[in-house]
Amino acid sequence: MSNGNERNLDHCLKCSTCHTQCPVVANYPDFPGPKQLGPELERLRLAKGQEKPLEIDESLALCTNCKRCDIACPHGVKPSYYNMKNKARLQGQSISKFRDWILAHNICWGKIGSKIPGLVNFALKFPLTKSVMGLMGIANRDFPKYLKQQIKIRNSKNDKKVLYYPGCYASFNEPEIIQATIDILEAYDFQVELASVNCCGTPVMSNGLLDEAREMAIKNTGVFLKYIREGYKIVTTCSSCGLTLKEEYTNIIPGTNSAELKQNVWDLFELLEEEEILPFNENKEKIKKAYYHVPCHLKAQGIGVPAANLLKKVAVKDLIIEDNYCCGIAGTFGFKKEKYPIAMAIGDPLFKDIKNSQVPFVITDCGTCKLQIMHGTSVPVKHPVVILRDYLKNSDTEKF
Amino acid sequence: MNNKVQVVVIGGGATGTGILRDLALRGIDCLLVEQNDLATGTSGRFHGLLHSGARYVVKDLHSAEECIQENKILKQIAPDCIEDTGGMFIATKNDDPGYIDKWLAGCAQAGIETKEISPTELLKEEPALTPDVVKAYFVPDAAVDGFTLAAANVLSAQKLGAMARNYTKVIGFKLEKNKVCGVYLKDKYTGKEELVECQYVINAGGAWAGQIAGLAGQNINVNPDKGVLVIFNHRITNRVLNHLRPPGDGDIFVPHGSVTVFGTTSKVTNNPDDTEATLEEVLELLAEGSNLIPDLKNMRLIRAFAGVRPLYQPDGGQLGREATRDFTLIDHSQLTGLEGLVSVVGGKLTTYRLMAKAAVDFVAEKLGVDKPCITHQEMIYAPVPKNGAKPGEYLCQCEMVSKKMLDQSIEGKGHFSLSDVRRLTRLGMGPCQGTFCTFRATGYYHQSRNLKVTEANKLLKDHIEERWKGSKPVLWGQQAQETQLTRGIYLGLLNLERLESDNNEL
Ligand SMILES: Cc1cc2nc3c(=O)[nH]c(=O)nc-3n(C[C@H](O)[C@H](O)[C@H](O)COP(=O)(O)OP(=O)(O)OC[C@H]3O[C@@H](n4cnc5c(N)ncnc54)[C@H](O)[C@@H]3O)c2cc1C
Ligand code: SF4
Ligand code: SF4
Repeated sequence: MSNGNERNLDHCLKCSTCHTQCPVVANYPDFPGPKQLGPELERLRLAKGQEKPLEIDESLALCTNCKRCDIACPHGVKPSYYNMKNKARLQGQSISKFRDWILAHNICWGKIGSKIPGLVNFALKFPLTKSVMGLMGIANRDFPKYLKQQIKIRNSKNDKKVLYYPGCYASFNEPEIIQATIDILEAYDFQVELASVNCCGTPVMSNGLLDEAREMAIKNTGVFLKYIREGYKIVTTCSSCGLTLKEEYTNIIPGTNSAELKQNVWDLFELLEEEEILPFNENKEKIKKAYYHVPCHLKAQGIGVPAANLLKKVAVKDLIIEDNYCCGIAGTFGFKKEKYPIAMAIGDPLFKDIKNSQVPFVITDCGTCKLQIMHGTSVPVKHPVVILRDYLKNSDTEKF
Repeated sequence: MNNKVQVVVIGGGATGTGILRDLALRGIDCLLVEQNDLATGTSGRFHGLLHSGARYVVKDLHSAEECIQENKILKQIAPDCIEDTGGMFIATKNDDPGYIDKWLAGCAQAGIETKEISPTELLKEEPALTPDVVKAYFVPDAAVDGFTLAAANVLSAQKLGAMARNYTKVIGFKLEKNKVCGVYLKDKYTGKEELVECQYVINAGGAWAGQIAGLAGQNINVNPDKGVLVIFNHRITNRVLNHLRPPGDGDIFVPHGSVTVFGTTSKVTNNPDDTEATLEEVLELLAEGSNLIPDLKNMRLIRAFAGVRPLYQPDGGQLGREATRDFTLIDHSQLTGLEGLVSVVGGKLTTYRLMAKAAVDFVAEKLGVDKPCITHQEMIYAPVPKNGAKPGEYLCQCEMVSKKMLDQSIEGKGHFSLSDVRRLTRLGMGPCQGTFCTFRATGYYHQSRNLKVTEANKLLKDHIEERWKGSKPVLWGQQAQETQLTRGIYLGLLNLERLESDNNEL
């Protein structure tokens, strides 16, 4: 056995702290949970050789890769690491389902959708498509609407340079996030460039297509490192993309490259927290009340809640910050028919909490969390940048 | 119980259980008695290596030949008890290259197949190994589970009508006119004593064989020799790892299910019950093992223990590693004129079937039974097979032991301890060392077997104390933390020290 996360299984005391934080355990008692699927079974997997999957490995498919277990463990074990690795191993052994493939490649969907938005939106609404998707095993729910992208960058030179990586969700479904991020970064005097890299690999990875994810990681890291060496900071606004660039790459392509990348990736608000200026309009009336949902993958980055902090300072008077719940969608998880009820059950406490708090809208950094929360509560959901952009000193709204 | 049988076998290790099965297959009416549970002697405190014989080719060719012959047979008849991991011998740059040629010649002579593999290739397959490997060979070593083997032998014998009693100690012999005609037994649960009459007694007491023979006034020169072993939390290599050099301390790693057993040492002791491993012994082993696995000292140890080899030297000759690993059949009528008793001593677990055959050939002839040995042709099976279960059915998650397995492991037993269950199922053998499964299993039996509270408490207490004992010599790093958690649960939460529990010798 080699080092790194592999050997973390030696640190597990079986204390079950991770179980108390796993949203699947809480809602689906048959799920063996992070302790057993991770460090415990890994010992037996080593024993059986990699070729024979254990029967119980089937339940790996239920792990949403939310990584709450990783943060919960007081001994530095990362159960989700084993789950990811073994999901990939199983995927390699069974003929992967077409459906998983499609969801894993939402980038392809995204690309088609953004070029001919009418078509995809139409196709997804059309009852027949929905039932075909039902047959294919995709739960009957609203897919992200694909919008055409038109982005403006000021392109002024500055020593503070940022390469902004918006990720799939923003690129193909909500380009507004991209524009708002650029506006904010420019207000903070950053020179911004938009990264021309592909999907970071999160959905591909959580559907167990590890080899492919590895290829994407190598390619993307190459592009990022070129910029980093020219003095750029890599900035993300999607919690999952951020976590993948920071953490997952060091697992799937260990080495100095991924380590260097990790040092240079910033969540947008993590970066802004270090800035001294505050280019926001203090006189503008604040939003009375809103609900901030902390995405699991933001929690897993271990950087606190920088977006919420800024929102409180600048835009929202009474911001409810809640990090107790997983929304249940976990990337592409909730799109799968057999997992849909579990996804909804996981999200249920969050939905109730949101409804009880009587807020006009919810704020969260993660695109798929947004879809799930809207689906579960019918309350509108916004990305923090979209709100904060309206509070910039020279924002359009101020002119009125 | 029938108080008359043809043959009584003393000792429930590999040898004794092998003898019982051989007797039964030849239609001889027989009873096995074991003072504790099956395989609680050396057969449960050993390295778990089904030798290919390669370890002995240079110094003890005859032993090596016996090993390879038995290795092939046991892989055929006892697949439930064996994990055919394969083995490797590696020489590092610090080892004597001259030894390699002698070793290869010996393997060829003994008929042990060796296959060379380049160090680079090997490191790809076994990344934990030292990069200092210069020569490496594959051999047909395997891992063998002594508990399952003993139980499988007994199960096979019982199906043919043989009897076996555990927790029954031989406390004396009935002698008449210089002939053994019975044994006095003491039941360890009830304290009751009784006599069982017989025509012949086979003493398969391993390291205790000298003590047992002493009860009949016989003096045989069994030299108990202690060996220390440690258990790592995970499989370090996938094959049995041997150091290619003259046999010494700390040069074998055996992957066993989910763990690795590493050892061993060799130290003459005058007490066969001396099974304590000390901190110094463990540290010496680790220092030695680091030559083969550089990262060894950072890996989690879960246990250390010792076993006692039943080395026999008829003329009081060489001791320790220099002593022969061959076995000897002692016909006491030749030694002192005492009829009706034969002792089988020495040997290895790998060659237990041969030892049994020799003993039973001898006794069968005395009894006028002319059926040949067929133990190499008939399969044996584990009494408690690993079986899959739904997630909630596992009471020991480290080793995946299900409720069904707990039921199977006590089938037909009046009394039992959780250690008995453990030996058949691996309950509590994982990293938490019984912390979570002990109270679960106790609760399960309490309910399903209608135990009294004091009986249930006894199960709990004995098991957790037994598990602690083995962790003591390795209490640092992760295992020390684990033990703190265990203490918190059992001393704090469950108030173990004040639990009212049954009292008996077990
Ligand atoms: C550290 C170590 C490592 C080893 N490694 C290996 C290995 O890797 N491979 C291998 O092939 N061999 C190995 N051996 C050798 C092997 O374990 C032994 O040779 C073998 O287990 C002996 O089996 P046995 O049945 O003869 O003795 P035991 O298993 O010791 O059986 C004797 C039994 O007699 C019982 N008994 C004693 N007195 C009484 C009484 N008065 N009444 C009733 N019962 C009694 C004892 O409780 C005991 O269970 C190792 C030995 C040691 C010490
Ligand atoms: S990653 Fe999330 S769902 Fe998966 S085991 Fe950990 S806590 Fe549970
Ligand atoms: S993985 Fe960590 S939190 Fe979970 S049981 Fe093991 S030590 Fe406890």
